[in-house]
Amino acid sequence: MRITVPVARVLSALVGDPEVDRYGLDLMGATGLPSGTLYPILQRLQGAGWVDARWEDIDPVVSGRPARRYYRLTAVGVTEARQALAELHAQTSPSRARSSARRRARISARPGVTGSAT
Amino acid sequence: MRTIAGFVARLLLGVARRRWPLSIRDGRVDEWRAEIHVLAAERRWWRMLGFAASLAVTRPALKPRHALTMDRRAVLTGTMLLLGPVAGLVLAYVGMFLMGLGLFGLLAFGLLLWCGGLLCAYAGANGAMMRRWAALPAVLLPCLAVVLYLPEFGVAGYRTLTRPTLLWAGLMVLLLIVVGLLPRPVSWWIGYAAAVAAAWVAVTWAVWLYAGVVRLDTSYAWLWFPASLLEIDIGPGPSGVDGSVLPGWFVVWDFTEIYPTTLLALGVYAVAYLIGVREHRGNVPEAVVSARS
Repeated sequence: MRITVPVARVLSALVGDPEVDRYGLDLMGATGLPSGTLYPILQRLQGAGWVDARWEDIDPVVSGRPARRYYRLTAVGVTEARQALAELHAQTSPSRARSSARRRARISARPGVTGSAT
Repeated sequence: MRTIAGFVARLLLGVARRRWPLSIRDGRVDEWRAEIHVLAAERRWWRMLGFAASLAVTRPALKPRHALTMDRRAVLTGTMLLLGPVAGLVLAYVGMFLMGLGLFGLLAFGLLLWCGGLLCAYAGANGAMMRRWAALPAVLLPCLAVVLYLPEFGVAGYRTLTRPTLLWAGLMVLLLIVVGLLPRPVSWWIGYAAAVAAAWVAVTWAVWLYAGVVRLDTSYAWLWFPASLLEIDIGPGPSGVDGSVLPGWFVVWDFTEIYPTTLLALGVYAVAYLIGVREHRGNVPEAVVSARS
């Protein structure tokens, strides 16, 4: 999973309370991302197994609106997201500039994480 | 406002839908419609339009692209079918200019023609019309353009180009059918040689007809095609057209102008298109070919 700034924002929003279901508009508000950026990210996170999606369990006729799709981090996703965000934070923290140079080498060696925010 | 915004949002979602893979697009659209419904209920029209527009204009980078999508192929094919004839005419004009430079110009023109044919074949090979018969519109459309365009000169003699042009189109259709049946190495040589021959026949007939109209010696007609490409001053002797004595070849040259180079360029384009499509299909796995057929 490539951790870009938009991906980090989505992960940050989801990891804030992993037990809460989030839907598209909700995540757009939390991350400030437009829909065209958010949904592909959610699709990629789903493909990586970090995020699970389910349809809202309502009767559209009774509720007067279509069912939403909810997103939530999986157990693997919670672990990976926290680790990726921590590494990203370590890299971008000014107070840790020296140590981040050393950590960067280790991070870049990890498969699936680019270690750079683009 | 509600009706207009809803209509525009639905249109935008329709565009966005086509950007997503077939297997998941319906689910995505249901999800977006649910959000749109909420925004519409809250009368947040601009937010709703922004939501739909962002999806419509953004290409979802779900995974690296290995092949053109059907949408792009359709656009590419349509563009090439429209631009192909125009490119042929542009090449013809450029070729005439370059041939004025002598041998170097001729070589440069040949190179341009070759590159143009390859480019068109490449674009056609990636097109949506992955059928052998797709070469037919590639020939017939330029042919129709020529037939409709030339009489616009308003000169009676130019109408004599219509029948030779139709003959050329018929020959090209036969040629493309034959080329489509031939094995690969032979089809290249025979295809391009026959495209030259078809243009030669059509130009010969056109010059023969026109020379008859202006009462010139028609025995030079068959030499006009190579002479016009090589810019050799051959042809019938002096003529008294328009009350003045002019060299006969000058009169015919003025009549044919870009006709030989145009037919040659379009013929090569059509052959390259057909061969490109066929070779592309040969490189596609069987399952994909059967799915397209």
